[in-house]
Amino acid sequence: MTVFSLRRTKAVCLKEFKHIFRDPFTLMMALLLPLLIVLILGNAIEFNVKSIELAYMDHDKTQSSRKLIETFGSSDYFRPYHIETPTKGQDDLAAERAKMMLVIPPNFEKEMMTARTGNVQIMLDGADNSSVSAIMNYLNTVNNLAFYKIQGLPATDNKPLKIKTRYLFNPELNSRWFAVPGITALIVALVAIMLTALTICKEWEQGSMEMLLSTPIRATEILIGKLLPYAGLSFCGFWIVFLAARFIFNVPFNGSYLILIGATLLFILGYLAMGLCISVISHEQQVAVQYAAVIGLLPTALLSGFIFPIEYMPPVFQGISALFPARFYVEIARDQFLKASSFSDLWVPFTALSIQIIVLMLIGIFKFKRTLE
Amino acid sequence: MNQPIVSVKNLSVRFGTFYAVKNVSFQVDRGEIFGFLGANGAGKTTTIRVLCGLLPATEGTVFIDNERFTRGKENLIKQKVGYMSQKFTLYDGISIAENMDFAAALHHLDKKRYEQRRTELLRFIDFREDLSLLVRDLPGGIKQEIALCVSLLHDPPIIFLDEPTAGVAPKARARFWDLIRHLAQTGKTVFVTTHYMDEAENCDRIALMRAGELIALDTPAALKKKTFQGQLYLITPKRGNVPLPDKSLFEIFEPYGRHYHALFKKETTSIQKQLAENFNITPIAPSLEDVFIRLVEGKDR
Amino acid sequence: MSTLLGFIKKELIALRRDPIMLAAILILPIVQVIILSQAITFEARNLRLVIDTIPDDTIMTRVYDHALGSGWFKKVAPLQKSAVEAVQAGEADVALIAPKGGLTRSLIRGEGELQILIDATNVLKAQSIEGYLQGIISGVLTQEMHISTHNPIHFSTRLLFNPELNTQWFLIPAISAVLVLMSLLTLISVSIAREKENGTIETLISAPISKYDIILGKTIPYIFVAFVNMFLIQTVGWFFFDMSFNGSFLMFVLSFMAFCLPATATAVWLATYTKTQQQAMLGLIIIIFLALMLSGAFFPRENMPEILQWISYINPLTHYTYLVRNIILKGAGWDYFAEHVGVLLLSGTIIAAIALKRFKTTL
Repeated sequence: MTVFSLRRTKAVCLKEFKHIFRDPFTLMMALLLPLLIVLILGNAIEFNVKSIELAYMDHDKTQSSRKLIETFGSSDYFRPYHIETPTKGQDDLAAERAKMMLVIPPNFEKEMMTARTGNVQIMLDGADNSSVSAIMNYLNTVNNLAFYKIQGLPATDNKPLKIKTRYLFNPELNSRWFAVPGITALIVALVAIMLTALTICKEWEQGSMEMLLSTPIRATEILIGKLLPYAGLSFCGFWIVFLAARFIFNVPFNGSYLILIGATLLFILGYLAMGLCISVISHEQQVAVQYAAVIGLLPTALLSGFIFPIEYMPPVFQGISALFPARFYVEIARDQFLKASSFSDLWVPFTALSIQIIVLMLIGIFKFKRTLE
Repeated sequence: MNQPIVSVKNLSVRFGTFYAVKNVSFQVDRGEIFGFLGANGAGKTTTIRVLCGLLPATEGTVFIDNERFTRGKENLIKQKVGYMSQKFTLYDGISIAENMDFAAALHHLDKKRYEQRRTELLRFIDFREDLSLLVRDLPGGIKQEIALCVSLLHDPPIIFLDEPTAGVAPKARARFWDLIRHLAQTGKTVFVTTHYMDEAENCDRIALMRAGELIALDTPAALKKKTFQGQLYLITPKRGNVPLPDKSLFEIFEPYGRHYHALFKKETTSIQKQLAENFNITPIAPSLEDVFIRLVEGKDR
Repeated sequence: MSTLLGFIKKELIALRRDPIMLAAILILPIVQVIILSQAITFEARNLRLVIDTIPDDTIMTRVYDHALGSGWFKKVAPLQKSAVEAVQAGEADVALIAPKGGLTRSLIRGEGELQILIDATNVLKAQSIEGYLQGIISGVLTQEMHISTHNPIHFSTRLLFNPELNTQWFLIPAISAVLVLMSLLTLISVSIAREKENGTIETLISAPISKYDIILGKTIPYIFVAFVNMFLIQTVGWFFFDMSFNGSFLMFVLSFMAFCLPATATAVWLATYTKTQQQAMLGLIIIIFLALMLSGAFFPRENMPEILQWISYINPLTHYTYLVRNIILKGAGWDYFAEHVGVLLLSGTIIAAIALKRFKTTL
């Protein structure tokens, strides 16, 4: 029985590196794709809705009603335009030409003057969930402003209760600060799972695994040798996103590099192991990609709390999300960028991450060894 | 040295309920070119996989170089064999030198020994090109020769070649067989499978597999002699559209292109004369292909 | 025609013989739809709320009780820390901090001031917390103190098409559109790449069939598979999430067919660049990713920078997502249909023309 050989491991590792550096596609995937993703996603994810198309019908046609519409128009949020008939408004809502319709009834000004209140009808396009709640919030703001404007009162705060909201860690509610740290998880997952699953499948598919096994090399040596370069690539991917976050999107980094890098390395290990498991199950690149997308990427994007908060999910799905390392990694990454908790505050996600990785690694190695026999 | 290098006794390999190899026994002598023939799915590759330690035997014993196969001893065996698989030979994306470095590391060759072996082997195949060429840029024949060198790098006493010349041009094939003969002369044992019957003629002995069973094992000459007691004839129609002779006259009547190989049931001059009207009849020595067809068909009957 | 039929048959048989692949194609999407549409929700729950005030502050207690009763918020286990520290340490999502002497007393004095402290690491969450709390507080004030802090003008708001703001209704049409794109692109381009890798493509080219036969033979079976797939997903939507189908079924099928043109053309076009399956898949990931992010399927297009909005307008997935969502939820009219199908067909024709031209030269 030969013992673990560093030399053989190094040889596999070196061979893999050479393959990577001579294959422009893999390199592109590992280095260019992360940059592309972070640039596009960073710009595309914006939850502060702007320029909402607002179709209005003014049956009142008084100064008050015009002031109401003006108030909508003077905010950045709405772009009012006039329509003649309610059917036109309905059509525009149906065809997404408008997100919202406003109907001011004939006696609006009269009501405002006599009862100091007025009735206005609003219709929203509920088919677009992503913007409705933001619009509803803006409506509250506009409501007060319009009231003071119509009453000719200065918009001073003579309200009985002044509510001051302070947003901790992200005072301006900048969507980028929130999205970009989460993207690191997505990219590391993408590079680690896909490339690992593919490279091991390729070894099966082209039959070179058999050649390797006819030599004295051991399964662990093949694994370490093959996985190490991809761990390195994934780590590069991480740095690309990190630098983009810091210098392109100006996300602050308040935490400790040690914690973030430690968590990243753990996370990479976990996804390498997942890629390994996938390749062992599928043996074929085409199938592996399907599995990698479904087991690896979708949960990472959607079940990790990256965008959709985990607390909002039904308990069963909170449980499912805890099966994926991404959930804990996103938690740590976001924390380190914006909050900077100490290690002792993060022991829960760290422990969870470590346990998952050990389990995944064991499954991967065990399954891999078993298929060799 | 007189002991056989490979000794297989009652080997069976079963996948589920399917026997890929069924109760096969044979021995391979040192320095011999041992041809392993059979149709696709006859169990050739499975047998080789067992002999290289890639696949455990379901039943039976296997000795390689006096070492009995048991679990945990695979690595000892793996040092004694070289293996060139049918599907994969060299990594395409890296250079010749890098492929060789890689193999050397896998076998833990020390630097001096590796360099010496490499020089020897490259001289052996007479390779003088640049070693930094990428494998994907090599012609098929050269690629196979380099692959042979790579699998010989750790100087194993026996080498398994699974269809080494499949898809290689005829001229390169001939060259490759020269190398194989050379190897055997230097004392290496070569265990080779092939589809080309003309190549099989180069083997010292031939084993013939059919549906997982060994159906024949002998030298090519003995196989021919054993299989064909009578004279084999080449029968060629003199013109197109001649009616075929009555098949019941023959033991064998096999088409080979526009010719036929035939063995008479009872050879008489009158039948010959009768046939000579439409056909040219020439006595020929049987080829291995004839043997192959006859043996396999004989079993089928 | 018969060569084409034979070709299609061959592809379908090969697919049927590969159970792992078939499972990946047909079952995984359904699992995905069920899981994802359940898990992804914009509806808040389990937000951890702490308050910081003196013990007998009635108004503050009312606010707290209302918040817990709303189902959006939940209690935090008793802490040693102050409310601010709890938010800072990540043990609470939001803290309500009353002025000195409690909220009730300060309101009576007429100088009410209340601080809300929100953990804004998740912007979406922070926004909804703000909204909910504002609503709850003004509700309590009206009820308890008979003072209105809000809404002097009464907006009677109606939500059209999805009155309960059901997130699944919003997501399932989009997910089905994305999955159709994914299965078409993956299956077609990888299957062509596989033939190239195995060298079998040469047999095809050497056979007396035109490249149109090859392309159609390679695409039609997978269009069929994608079609089945889409139906399964819609059935899941109807079955599990009571999603009604308001539009014309014919329109729905026609939209699918129109979308198949750019989708399959892209797959074939990609296949002309790739020699191995690995390359094909890397290309696919990039294309699918871009198409998905810039489609408005999940992130509203209106919020993107202008240049990305333009790019997303030429993205076929944008129009297909619009079509599917609109037909299902709103019962789209023919003019809406015509506009988006027009864009699909136009972009499809352009991509197809490029793909066909390249297909000839590279093979």
